[in-house]
Amino acid sequence: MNKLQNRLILTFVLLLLIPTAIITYYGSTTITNQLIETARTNALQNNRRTAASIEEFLNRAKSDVLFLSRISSARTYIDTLAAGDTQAARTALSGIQTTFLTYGQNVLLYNEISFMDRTGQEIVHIKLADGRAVLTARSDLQNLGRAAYFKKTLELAQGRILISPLNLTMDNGQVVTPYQPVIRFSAPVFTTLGDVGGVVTVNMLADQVLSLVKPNTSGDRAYLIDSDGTYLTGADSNKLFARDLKTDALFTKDYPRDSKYIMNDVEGTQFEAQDQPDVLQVYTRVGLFSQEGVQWTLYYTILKSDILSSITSSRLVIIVVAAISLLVAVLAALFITRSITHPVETLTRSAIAISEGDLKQRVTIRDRSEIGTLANAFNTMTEQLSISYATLEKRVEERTAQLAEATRRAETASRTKSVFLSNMSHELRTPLNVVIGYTSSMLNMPQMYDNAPLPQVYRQDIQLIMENGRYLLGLINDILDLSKIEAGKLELNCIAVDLNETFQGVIATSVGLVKDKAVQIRPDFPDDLPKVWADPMRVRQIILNLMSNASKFTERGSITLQAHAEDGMVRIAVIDTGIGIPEAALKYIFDRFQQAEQGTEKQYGGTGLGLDISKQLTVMHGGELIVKSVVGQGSTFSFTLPVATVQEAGLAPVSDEPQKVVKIFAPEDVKFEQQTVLLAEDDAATRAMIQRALEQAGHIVVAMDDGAQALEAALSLLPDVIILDIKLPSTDGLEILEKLRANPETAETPIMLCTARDDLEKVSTQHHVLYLHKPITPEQLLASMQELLSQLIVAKGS
Amino acid sequence: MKILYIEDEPNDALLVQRYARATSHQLTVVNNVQDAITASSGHPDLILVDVVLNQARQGYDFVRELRDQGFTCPIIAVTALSLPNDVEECYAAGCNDIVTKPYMINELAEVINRYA
Repeated sequence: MNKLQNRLILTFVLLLLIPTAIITYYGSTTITNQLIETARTNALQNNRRTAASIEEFLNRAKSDVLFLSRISSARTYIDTLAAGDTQAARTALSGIQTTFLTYGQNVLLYNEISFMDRTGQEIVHIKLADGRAVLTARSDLQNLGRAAYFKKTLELAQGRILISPLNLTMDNGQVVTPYQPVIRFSAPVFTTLGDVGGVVTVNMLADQVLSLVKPNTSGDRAYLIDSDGTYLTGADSNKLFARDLKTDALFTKDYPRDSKYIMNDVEGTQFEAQDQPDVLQVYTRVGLFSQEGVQWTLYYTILKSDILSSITSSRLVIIVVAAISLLVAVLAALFITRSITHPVETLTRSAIAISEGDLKQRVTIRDRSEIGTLANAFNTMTEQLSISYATLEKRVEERTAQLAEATRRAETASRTKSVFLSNMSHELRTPLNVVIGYTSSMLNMPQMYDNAPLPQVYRQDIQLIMENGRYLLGLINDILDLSKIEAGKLELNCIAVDLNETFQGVIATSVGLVKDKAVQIRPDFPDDLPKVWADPMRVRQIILNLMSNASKFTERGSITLQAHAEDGMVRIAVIDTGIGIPEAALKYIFDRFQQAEQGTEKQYGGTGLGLDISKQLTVMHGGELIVKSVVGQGSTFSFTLPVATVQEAGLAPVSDEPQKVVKIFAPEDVKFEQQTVLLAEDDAATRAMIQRALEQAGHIVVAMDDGAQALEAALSLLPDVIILDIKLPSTDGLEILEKLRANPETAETPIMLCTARDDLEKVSTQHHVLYLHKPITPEQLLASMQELLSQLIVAKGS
Repeated sequence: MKILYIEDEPNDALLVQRYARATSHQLTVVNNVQDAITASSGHPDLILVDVVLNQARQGYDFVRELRDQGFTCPIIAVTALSLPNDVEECYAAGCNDIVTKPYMINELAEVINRYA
C-alpha cells in the first residue's frame, strides 16, 4: 500500500545500520584489545609483585641461615671442643641453644633449626610445636652425616648456602599429614681458623610462601610450579606435590604445548594459547639461587570471559543506543513520508476522480514546498483540462451534428434522385405504352379488331411507328442507365459468368445487325476461357453496344469478337474493318452525344450514349475501355473483366494448368474501423464504384462532384479520409490537397489522389498521400485505404 | 377466367379490355383502390394492377392488403415503373409477376396465359 513510506523507512534504517555496525565492530575490537592489554599488564605486575614477595621470604631465610651459621657461640663451640676445653664448649652450646630458641620463637617462620657438627651429628635442634620453639632432648638428636644435602653443604664456600627443593615433611620415611611443605636452607659453619666445623640448617615453613600465590578473583587461577613440573600450589589438592607423593600429576603433562614456553621463558603472557584457548596466561620465573638449582614458575590464568565481561555491558549500551536511533529513524521516516504521501494520496484521489470524469476536482494542499507547487500546477492543469474538455466536447458535438446533417442531406439527395429517376422512367414509359401496346396489337392480334384486315400500306406505317417507339424505349433505357450511374444507383449483380454462353448470344444477335451487309461476324476465343466475375446482363450490354457500333461503321469485311485470358483478367475485344476513327477524334470518342464526325448521326444513327455507358460499365467492373483505330482500316475496342476465383466460380478450373487467379473484391476481406470518407470525383461511374465499395466496407461516404464544394466540406467536416480526383470542376485535386495541407486541422488527414495517366507528372510524394491510378478497382481502393490508415496509426504511435 | 384490372390510364385499360374481349376472358376494370377492394369480393381468378394510381403508388398497399385478407389468387403488376427497387417492391408486396410498360401485346398475353 504505502510503498514510498516503506522505501524511505528501509533507506533510513539502512543508512543508520551501516555506521552503527561499523562503529560496533571497531568499538568492540578496540575495547577487546584494550581490555586484553590491560589485563595482561595488570596480571604481569601482580605476578611480579607476588614473585617479589616470594623472593623476599626466600631472601629472609637465606640471610637468617647465614646469620645463624655465623653466630660466635657456634664458632666458639667448635673451636673450644677441638681444643678440648669442655667447659667452654658447654657454655657455647648453651649460647647456641638460647640464640636458636629466641630466633625460632620470634621469627616463627621455621619449624626446625638445627646445628650439626662436621660428622653430621645434631648438636642443637629446635622444633616449632603449637607456636612455641622447643629444644629437642639430647636423646632424640640424630646423625645426618649421610644425608646428601649435609655432604653438599660441607663443601660450600663461605657465604654460600644450599637450598633444597620444596618438600613435604617426612617422618621415618612417611609423609606427615596434614602436609607440611618446607624448604631447607643450609649453610656451613667455619672455625676461627676458617675450617668447616659444622652445618646450620633451617626448615622454612613453605605455607606462608605458597599462601602468597592466590587468585584475585574467583575465575582466576594462580599456580606455583616447580622446575620439574610439580604443582606446588594452585592446582587441585590431589595434583599437588607429585614428587613427594610419587604421582604423575605434572603441569608439563597437563599442558604439554603451553608448558614449553611457560617453563622456559623468564616472563611472559599468552592469550588464547593452544592448550588453554579460553584464558589469558601470565607466567613469571621465581627463584633466587639458580646455582642452587631452585627454579619455580609463577603461573597465573585469567578467564577470557572475565576479561571481556565489561565489553558485554558496552555492547548493551551500543545496542540500546542503536535501537533508540533506529526507532527515531523510523519515526522520522514515517513523519517525512506522511508529509509527502499524504498530499500525494490526495493528488492521486483527485487524479482518479478526474480520470473518472469529475473535472470539478480541486486539491487543497497548503504547503510551501514543492508539493504545494505540484498541487497548484495540478489544479491549473485540471482547470485547463476542464476548459479543453468542454471545448472539445462542444466541437465534437458540432462536428457530429455537421456530419449527421451532411449525411442526412446526402441521404435525402440520394432518395430524391431515386424517386426522380423512378418517376421519370414511369412518365416516359407511360405514353410509350400506348404507342407500342396499340401498334403491336394492331400488327399481331387481329382478333382484337374483330379480325378486320389491316391494309398493307397501314401495316408498314404502323410497323414504323412501333419500331421507332421501341427505339425511343432503347434511348430512354440508355439515358436511365446513365442517370442511374451518375446517381450511384446502378448496381451490378456480379456472379461467375461463363463468357462462352454470353458470346454465343451476342453473336446470334449481331448476325442480325449485319444481315444486309457484306460483313462477316467472326468469333475468336478459346473454349476454355476462365469464368469472370461480372454482371452478365451488363457484360452483354457492353459487348452488344460495341458490336452494334462496329456494325454501323463497317460496310464490308469482318467484325471479330476476340477474347483471351491475361494476367488474372479476360480481355474482350471487338475488332472491325470499318472506316476507323481519326486520331483527333479519338479523345472525344467517349464523350456523350459525340460521334467521330459531326453529322454522322444522320448517316449512322444512334445518340452516342452507348460508348459512354459501356465505358462507365467497364469502369464499374474494375476495367477500362480502350480504343485503337486506323482511319480506313478499322477500330478495335477492348476491355477487361476480372477472372472469378475458384470459390466464386464454385468449381475447379477446367484447365489442368494452374491458373493465376486474382481475388476479386469482397467487402468482408478488408476490415477496419468505420471511417468518414469525403469523396470528390466528377466521373459518375468512378464515384459510384468508390462510394459503393466504401459503403459496403462499412464506411460513411460523403460524395461530391465539385472541387470547391469538396474543399469546403473537407474543412467543415474534418473527415477521416479524403479521396480526390485530380481533375475536378472549379478547384482541382492538387489545389485542394495544397489547401488542406496548409490548414493545421487537415494537415495530417490521409488523402488518396485518383490520377489518370496524363496526370502522373504532376504528382509528388507526400506524407499521408497515396496515388490511385485509374482504372481503380474496389480491391485496390480498400487496400490503399488500409495502407494509409495503418501508416497513420504507425505515425501516431511513434 | 375472371380478371380484375385496376388501371387509371383509360387508354391502357381500353387496350386490355379489347384483348380480353378477343380472348373471351371476363374482365372487370376499375380505376381506383376503393372500387378495387369492392370488386375483389367477386373472387377474380387473376388480378392485374397498375402500381401508380391517381399520381401515387397506391398499388403496393392494395396488393399488401389483399394478401393480408387472405387472397391467394395470382396478382400481376402492370406498371411503367422499371427501376430494380420498384420491381423488388412489387414482389415484396405480394405480386406473382410483373409486366413492364411499354409492352408488346404478345408479352402481356404470354404472362396472362401463364396463369389461365
